[in-house]
Amino acid sequence: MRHARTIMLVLVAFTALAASASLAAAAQPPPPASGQAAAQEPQDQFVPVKTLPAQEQLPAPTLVMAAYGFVWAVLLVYLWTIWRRLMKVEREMLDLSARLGEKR
Amino acid sequence: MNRVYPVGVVLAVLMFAAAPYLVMAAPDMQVQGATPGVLLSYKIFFYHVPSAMVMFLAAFICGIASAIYLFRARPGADHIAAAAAELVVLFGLIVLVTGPLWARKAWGVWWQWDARLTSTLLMWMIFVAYLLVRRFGGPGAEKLSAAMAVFGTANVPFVYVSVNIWRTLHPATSVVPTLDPGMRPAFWFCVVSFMLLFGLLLALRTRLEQRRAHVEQLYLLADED
Repeated sequence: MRHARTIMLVLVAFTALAASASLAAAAQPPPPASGQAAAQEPQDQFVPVKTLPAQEQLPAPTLVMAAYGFVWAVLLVYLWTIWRRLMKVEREMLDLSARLGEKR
Repeated sequence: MNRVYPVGVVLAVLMFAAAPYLVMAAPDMQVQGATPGVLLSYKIFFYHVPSAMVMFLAAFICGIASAIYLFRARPGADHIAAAAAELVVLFGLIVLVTGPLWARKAWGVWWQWDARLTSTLLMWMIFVAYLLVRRFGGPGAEKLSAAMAVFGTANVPFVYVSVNIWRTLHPATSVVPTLDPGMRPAFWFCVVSFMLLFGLLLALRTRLEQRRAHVEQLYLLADED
Protein backbone atom coordinates (compact mmCIF):
# COMPACT_ATOMS: atom_id res chain seq x y z
CA MET A 1 0.00 0.00 0.00
CA ARG A 2 2.96 2.33 0.73
CA HIS A 3 4.20 1.75 -2.79
CA ALA A 4 0.71 2.43 -4.17
CA ARG A 5 0.62 5.84 -2.48
CA THR A 6 4.09 6.65 -3.73
CA ILE A 7 3.15 5.66 -7.26
CA MET A 8 0.00 7.80 -7.15
CA LEU A 9 2.03 10.78 -5.92
CA VAL A 10 4.48 10.28 -8.76
CA LEU A 11 1.63 10.08 -11.29
CA VAL A 12 0.13 13.34 -10.07
CA ALA A 13 3.49 15.07 -9.95
CA PHE A 14 4.44 13.97 -13.46
CA THR A 15 1.10 15.15 -14.82
CA ALA A 16 1.55 18.59 -13.33
CA LEU A 17 5.14 18.83 -14.47
CA ALA A 18 4.35 17.65 -17.98
CA ALA A 19 2.11 20.70 -18.27
CA SER A 20 4.92 22.99 -17.10
CA ALA A 21 7.37 21.40 -19.53
CA SER A 22 4.96 21.99 -22.39
CA LEU A 23 4.66 25.63 -21.37
CA ALA A 24 8.45 25.97 -21.34
CA ALA A 25 8.69 24.51 -24.83
CA ALA A 26 5.84 26.68 -26.07
CA ALA A 27 7.73 29.80 -24.96
CA GLN A 28 10.00 29.34 -28.01
CA PRO A 29 9.13 31.68 -30.89
CA PRO A 30 7.71 29.99 -34.00
CA PRO A 31 10.09 29.63 -36.96
CA PRO A 32 9.87 32.29 -39.69
CA ALA A 33 7.65 31.48 -42.68
CA SER A 34 9.53 29.85 -45.53
CA GLY A 35 10.19 31.72 -48.78
CA GLN A 36 9.40 30.31 -52.24
CA ALA A 37 7.00 27.47 -52.89
CA ALA A 38 8.45 24.30 -54.41
CA ALA A 39 7.19 22.31 -57.38
CA GLN A 40 4.09 20.19 -56.81
CA GLU A 41 5.44 17.05 -58.55
CA PRO A 42 5.84 13.91 -56.42
CA GLN A 43 9.20 13.87 -54.69
CA ASP A 44 11.44 11.05 -55.87
CA GLN A 45 14.75 12.05 -54.32
CA PHE A 46 16.13 13.66 -51.21
CA VAL A 47 15.72 17.47 -51.37
CA PRO A 48 16.50 20.21 -48.85
CA VAL A 49 13.60 20.83 -46.48
CA LYS A 50 13.38 24.58 -47.22
CA THR A 51 12.53 23.92 -50.88
CA LEU A 52 9.39 22.00 -49.90
CA PRO A 53 6.00 23.77 -50.10
CA ALA A 54 4.85 25.40 -46.87
CA GLN A 55 2.24 22.74 -46.10
CA GLU A 56 4.98 20.09 -46.15
CA GLN A 57 7.07 21.87 -43.53
CA LEU A 58 6.07 20.95 -40.01
CA PRO A 59 6.82 23.59 -37.37
CA ALA A 60 9.69 22.60 -35.10
CA PRO A 61 8.00 23.61 -31.79
CA THR A 62 5.20 21.14 -32.55
CA LEU A 63 7.69 18.33 -33.08
CA VAL A 64 9.69 19.20 -29.95
CA MET A 65 6.53 19.41 -27.81
CA ALA A 66 5.24 16.16 -29.29
CA ALA A 67 8.52 14.41 -28.44
CA TYR A 68 8.64 15.68 -24.87
CA GLY A 69 4.92 15.10 -24.36
CA PHE A 70 5.23 11.55 -25.65
CA VAL A 71 8.04 10.77 -23.20
CA TRP A 72 6.01 12.04 -20.24
CA ALA A 73 2.85 10.28 -21.42
CA VAL A 74 4.59 6.93 -21.90
CA LEU A 75 6.23 7.09 -18.47
CA LEU A 76 2.94 8.04 -16.81
CA VAL A 77 1.04 5.23 -18.52
CA TYR A 78 3.73 2.72 -17.59
CA LEU A 79 3.68 3.81 -13.94
CA TRP A 80 -0.12 3.46 -13.95
CA THR A 81 0.09 -0.09 -15.37
CA ILE A 82 2.64 -1.09 -12.72
CA TRP A 83 0.36 0.35 -10.01
CA ARG A 84 -2.61 -1.61 -11.36
CA ARG A 85 -0.67 -4.87 -11.52
CA LEU A 86 0.79 -4.39 -8.04
CA MET A 87 -2.70 -3.78 -6.62
CA LYS A 88 -4.02 -6.93 -8.29
CA VAL A 89 -1.15 -9.06 -6.99
CA GLU A 90 -1.48 -7.62 -3.47
CA ARG A 91 -5.21 -8.49 -3.47
CA GLU A 92 -4.49 -12.04 -4.61
CA MET A 93 -1.84 -12.44 -1.90
CA LEU A 94 -4.25 -11.28 0.79
CA ASP A 95 -7.02 -13.58 -0.49
CA LEU A 96 -4.72 -16.60 -0.66
CA SER A 97 -3.16 -15.92 2.72
CA ALA A 98 -6.63 -15.66 4.25
CA ARG A 99 -7.73 -18.87 2.52
CA LEU A 100 -4.66 -20.74 3.71
CA GLY A 101 -5.15 -19.34 7.21
CA GLU A 102 -8.76 -20.60 7.31
CA LYS A 103 -7.81 -24.10 6.22
CA ARG A 104 -5.22 -24.36 8.98
CA MET B 1 14.91 -0.01 0.19
CA ASN B 2 11.63 1.22 1.72
CA ARG B 3 13.32 4.41 2.91
CA VAL B 4 15.45 4.97 -0.17
CA TYR B 5 12.62 4.49 -2.63
CA PRO B 6 10.45 7.57 -1.77
CA VAL B 7 13.57 9.76 -1.66
CA GLY B 8 14.59 8.46 -5.07
CA VAL B 9 11.12 9.09 -6.48
CA VAL B 10 11.07 12.69 -5.24
CA LEU B 11 14.57 13.28 -6.59
CA ALA B 12 13.66 11.82 -9.99
CA VAL B 13 10.51 13.97 -10.19
CA LEU B 14 12.46 17.12 -9.30
CA MET B 15 15.15 16.35 -11.84
CA PHE B 16 12.57 15.71 -14.56
CA ALA B 17 10.88 18.97 -13.67
CA ALA B 18 14.15 20.89 -13.98
CA ALA B 19 15.32 19.15 -17.18
CA PRO B 20 13.14 21.07 -19.71
CA TYR B 21 14.37 24.42 -18.36
CA LEU B 22 18.00 23.32 -18.61
CA VAL B 23 17.39 22.00 -22.12
CA MET B 24 15.80 25.24 -23.32
CA ALA B 25 18.67 27.21 -21.79
CA ALA B 26 21.30 25.11 -23.62
CA PRO B 27 22.97 26.94 -26.53
CA ASP B 28 21.78 26.31 -30.08
CA MET B 29 23.67 23.88 -32.26
CA GLN B 30 26.00 25.59 -34.77
CA VAL B 31 25.12 24.23 -38.22
CA GLN B 32 25.91 26.24 -41.34
CA GLY B 33 22.82 26.94 -43.40
CA ALA B 34 20.43 25.35 -40.92
CA THR B 35 17.00 26.95 -40.47
CA PRO B 36 15.79 28.01 -37.00
CA GLY B 37 13.37 25.09 -37.07
CA VAL B 38 16.17 22.57 -37.52
CA LEU B 39 18.18 24.22 -34.73
CA LEU B 40 15.20 24.05 -32.36
CA SER B 41 14.37 20.43 -33.18
CA TYR B 42 17.82 19.33 -31.96
CA LYS B 43 16.52 19.88 -28.39
CA ILE B 44 14.93 16.44 -28.74
CA PHE B 45 18.53 15.13 -28.52
CA PHE B 46 18.52 15.76 -24.75
CA TYR B 47 15.79 13.11 -24.23
CA HIS B 48 16.48 10.90 -27.22
CA VAL B 49 20.12 10.02 -26.41
CA PRO B 50 19.66 9.39 -22.65
CA SER B 51 16.69 7.13 -23.51
CA ALA B 52 18.92 5.19 -25.89
CA MET B 53 21.62 4.86 -23.22
CA VAL B 54 19.07 3.52 -20.75
CA MET B 55 17.69 1.14 -23.38
CA PHE B 56 21.18 -0.33 -23.93
CA LEU B 57 21.78 -0.59 -20.17
CA ALA B 58 18.45 -2.35 -19.67
CA ALA B 59 19.28 -4.77 -22.50
CA PHE B 60 22.64 -5.62 -20.89
CA ILE B 61 21.01 -6.21 -17.50
CA CYS B 62 18.34 -8.38 -19.09
CA GLY B 63 20.92 -10.45 -21.00
CA ILE B 64 23.22 -10.97 -18.01
CA ALA B 65 20.33 -11.85 -15.69
CA SER B 66 18.90 -14.23 -18.31
CA ALA B 67 22.27 -15.96 -18.69
CA ILE B 68 22.49 -16.39 -14.90
CA TYR B 69 18.98 -17.83 -14.88
CA LEU B 70 19.77 -20.23 -17.75
CA PHE B 71 23.01 -21.56 -16.29
CA ARG B 72 22.44 -21.22 -12.54
CA ALA B 73 18.61 -21.52 -12.40
CA ARG B 74 18.26 -18.65 -9.93
CA PRO B 75 14.64 -17.36 -9.80
CA GLY B 76 15.79 -13.91 -8.64
CA ALA B 77 17.77 -13.47 -11.86
CA ASP B 78 14.67 -14.32 -13.89
CA HIS B 79 12.65 -11.64 -12.05
CA ILE B 80 15.29 -9.02 -12.83
CA ALA B 81 15.46 -10.15 -16.47
CA ALA B 82 11.70 -9.85 -16.92
CA ALA B 83 11.69 -6.38 -15.37
CA ALA B 84 14.64 -5.21 -17.48
CA ALA B 85 13.09 -6.55 -20.69
CA GLU B 86 9.97 -4.47 -20.12
CA LEU B 87 12.14 -1.40 -19.64
CA VAL B 88 14.04 -2.13 -22.87
CA VAL B 89 10.68 -2.05 -24.67
CA LEU B 90 9.59 1.10 -22.83
CA PHE B 91 12.73 3.16 -23.42
CA GLY B 92 13.16 1.67 -26.90
CA LEU B 93 9.69 2.98 -27.76
CA ILE B 94 10.74 6.43 -26.56
CA VAL B 95 13.87 6.27 -28.74
CA LEU B 96 11.97 5.04 -31.81
CA VAL B 97 9.36 7.80 -31.54
CA THR B 98 11.49 10.79 -30.53
CA GLY B 99 14.09 9.95 -33.20
CA PRO B 100 11.72 10.28 -36.17
CA LEU B 101 10.18 13.43 -34.66
CA TRP B 102 13.67 14.94 -34.76
CA ALA B 103 14.53 13.35 -38.10
CA ARG B 104 11.46 14.86 -39.79
CA LYS B 105 12.95 18.30 -39.30
CA ALA B 106 16.65 17.47 -39.54
CA TRP B 107 16.56 15.05 -42.50
CA GLY B 108 13.22 15.89 -44.07
CA VAL B 109 11.95 12.31 -43.63
CA TRP B 110 10.34 10.43 -40.75
CA TRP B 111 12.37 7.24 -41.23
CA GLN B 112 15.31 5.80 -43.17
CA TRP B 113 16.14 2.12 -43.44
CA ASP B 114 19.76 2.75 -42.55
CA ALA B 115 21.95 0.56 -40.31
CA ARG B 116 21.36 2.30 -36.99
CA LEU B 117 17.59 2.77 -37.25
CA THR B 118 16.94 -0.69 -38.67
CA SER B 119 19.14 -2.50 -36.14
CA THR B 120 17.56 -0.58 -33.25
CA LEU B 121 14.08 -1.50 -34.45
CA LEU B 122 15.06 -5.17 -34.77
CA MET B 123 16.58 -5.24 -31.30
CA TRP B 124 13.44 -3.64 -29.87
CA MET B 125 11.28 -6.23 -31.63
CA ILE B 126 13.35 -9.07 -30.10
CA PHE B 127 12.54 -7.79 -26.63
CA VAL B 128 8.86 -7.33 -27.52
CA ALA B 129 8.94 -10.98 -28.57
CA TYR B 130 10.54 -11.80 -25.19
CA LEU B 131 7.53 -10.27 -23.40
CA LEU B 132 5.05 -12.07 -25.67
CA VAL B 133 6.76 -15.42 -25.07
CA ARG B 134 6.68 -14.88 -21.31
CA ARG B 135 3.02 -13.92 -21.43
CA PHE B 136 1.72 -16.60 -23.79
CA GLY B 137 4.46 -19.23 -23.91
CA GLY B 138 3.04 -21.51 -21.22
CA PRO B 139 5.24 -23.78 -19.09
CA GLY B 140 8.94 -23.40 -19.79
CA ALA B 141 8.47 -19.95 -21.28
CA GLU B 142 10.95 -18.47 -18.79
CA LYS B 143 13.86 -20.46 -20.17
CA LEU B 144 12.90 -19.88 -23.79
CA SER B 145 12.58 -16.13 -23.26
CA ALA B 146 15.88 -16.07 -21.35
CA ALA B 147 17.61 -17.56 -24.40
CA MET B 148 15.96 -14.90 -26.59
CA ALA B 149 17.19 -12.19 -24.24
CA VAL B 150 20.78 -13.39 -24.53
CA PHE B 151 20.43 -13.22 -28.30
CA GLY B 152 18.87 -9.76 -28.11
CA THR B 153 21.61 -8.43 -25.84
CA ALA B 154 24.27 -9.66 -28.26
CA ASN B 155 22.81 -7.17 -30.75
CA VAL B 156 23.62 -4.15 -28.60
CA PRO B 157 27.30 -3.73 -29.63
CA PHE B 158 26.31 -4.03 -33.30
CA VAL B 159 23.59 -1.42 -32.92
CA TYR B 160 26.06 0.93 -31.23
CA VAL B 161 28.90 0.66 -33.79
CA SER B 162 26.62 0.49 -36.84
CA VAL B 163 26.87 4.25 -37.37
CA ASN B 164 30.68 4.04 -37.44
CA ILE B 165 30.89 1.07 -39.81
CA TRP B 166 28.18 1.84 -42.36
CA ARG B 167 27.33 5.10 -44.08
CA THR B 168 24.16 6.33 -42.34
CA LEU B 169 22.16 9.50 -41.89
CA HIS B 170 22.26 8.99 -38.14
CA PRO B 171 25.01 10.95 -36.29
CA ALA B 172 28.08 8.94 -35.33
CA THR B 173 29.13 7.95 -31.82
CA SER B 174 31.63 10.83 -31.76
CA VAL B 175 28.83 13.36 -31.10
CA VAL B 176 28.62 12.88 -27.32
CA PRO B 177 32.39 12.95 -26.57
CA THR B 178 32.77 16.11 -28.68
CA LEU B 179 29.65 17.86 -27.42
CA ASP B 180 29.75 21.65 -27.13
CA PRO B 181 30.73 22.60 -23.52
CA GLY B 182 27.57 24.71 -23.21
CA MET B 183 25.39 21.67 -23.93
CA ARG B 184 27.14 19.26 -21.58
CA PRO B 185 25.44 20.27 -18.27
CA ALA B 186 21.93 19.87 -19.72
CA PHE B 187 22.85 16.63 -21.47
CA TRP B 188 24.48 14.92 -18.50
CA PHE B 189 21.72 16.17 -16.19
CA CYS B 190 19.20 14.43 -18.45
CA VAL B 191 21.36 11.28 -18.52
CA VAL B 192 21.48 11.15 -14.70
CA SER B 193 17.71 11.80 -14.51
CA PHE B 194 16.93 8.96 -16.89
CA MET B 195 19.36 6.60 -15.15
CA LEU B 196 17.78 7.37 -11.77
CA LEU B 197 14.31 6.84 -13.20
CA PHE B 198 15.45 3.56 -14.75
CA GLY B 199 16.83 2.33 -11.42
CA LEU B 200 13.57 3.12 -9.64
CA LEU B 201 11.42 1.50 -12.33
CA LEU B 202 13.64 -1.59 -12.36
CA ALA B 203 13.36 -1.95 -8.57
CA LEU B 204 9.58 -1.49 -8.68
CA ARG B 205 9.05 -3.88 -11.56
CA THR B 206 11.33 -6.53 -10.03
CA ARG B 207 9.32 -6.30 -6.82
CA LEU B 208 6.16 -6.95 -8.86
CA GLU B 209 7.74 -10.10 -10.35
CA GLN B 210 8.78 -11.31 -6.90
CA ARG B 211 5.24 -10.80 -5.61
CA ARG B 212 3.84 -12.74 -8.56
CA ALA B 213 6.19 -15.63 -7.87
CA HIS B 214 5.10 -15.60 -4.24
CA VAL B 215 1.43 -15.67 -5.30
CA GLU B 216 2.12 -18.70 -7.50
CA GLN B 217 3.69 -20.49 -4.56
CA LEU B 218 0.64 -19.65 -2.44
CA TYR B 219 -1.63 -21.07 -5.17
CA LEU B 220 0.39 -24.30 -5.14
CA LEU B 221 0.10 -24.50 -1.36
CA ALA B 222 -3.63 -23.83 -1.54
CA ASP B 223 -4.05 -26.62 -4.14
CA GLU B 224 -2.08 -29.08 -2.02
CA ASP B 225 -4.35 -28.41 0.92
